[in-house]
Amino acid sequence: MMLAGGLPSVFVTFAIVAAIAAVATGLFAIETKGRVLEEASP
Amino acid sequence: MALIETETQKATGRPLPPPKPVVSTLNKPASLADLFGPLYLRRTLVVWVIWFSSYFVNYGLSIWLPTVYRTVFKLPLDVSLRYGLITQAVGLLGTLICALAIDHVGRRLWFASSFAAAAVSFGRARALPRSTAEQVLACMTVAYFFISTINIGVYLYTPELYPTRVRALGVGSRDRLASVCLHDRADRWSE
Repeated sequence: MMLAGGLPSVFVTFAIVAAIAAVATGLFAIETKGRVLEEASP
Repeated sequence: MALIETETQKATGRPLPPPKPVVSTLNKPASLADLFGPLYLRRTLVVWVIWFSSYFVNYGLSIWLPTVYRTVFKLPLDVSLRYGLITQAVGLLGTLICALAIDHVGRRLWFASSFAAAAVSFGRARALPRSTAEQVLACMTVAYFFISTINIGVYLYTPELYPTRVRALGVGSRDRLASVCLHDRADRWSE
């Protein structure tokens, strides 16, 4: 039922997924705060 | 409106020009290719990563944590469900804080920091030797707090990334990803 390795391996999986997302977002996400919609997305 | 128009005419000393329609975005038909075009490909990929990751973790925690309390830590059913409820309540608080604060902080900084904070919480949970249910509850609740802010914030962010002609396509495409996470979790862990 659970991933091999039990609870700790699930925590590690979640940590890795979140860490990858943090890096990807920090590097590649565009900032839309305070921008007019038509200007941010032409 | 009439008052504004009168005042403007008085101030400028000239009659207002006749109204004319303004197209402020590119006037072309919607196409799936828009989502992967030069301007939008990067946004599509990033927003897919955000959707997939945040809901992968959210569904993992919200569906499966009460089962962990019950099967791994052998807690009674009512206590397991109450612990699950605590996590949910804190997550709800997170969404409220995000709604009030994300316009001041900015989307990119908010998402990146929240993912990082959640990752640290999971790392902390992993590092605890022979953790108790309450330690797991604390770590997972902190992680869920941050993930919840992303879950709600990305609903705001995704429509901002696309022009009106492909907004529905863009938002719909990510919806599939979140659903895939849900089905995967449910199949694997709800037994």
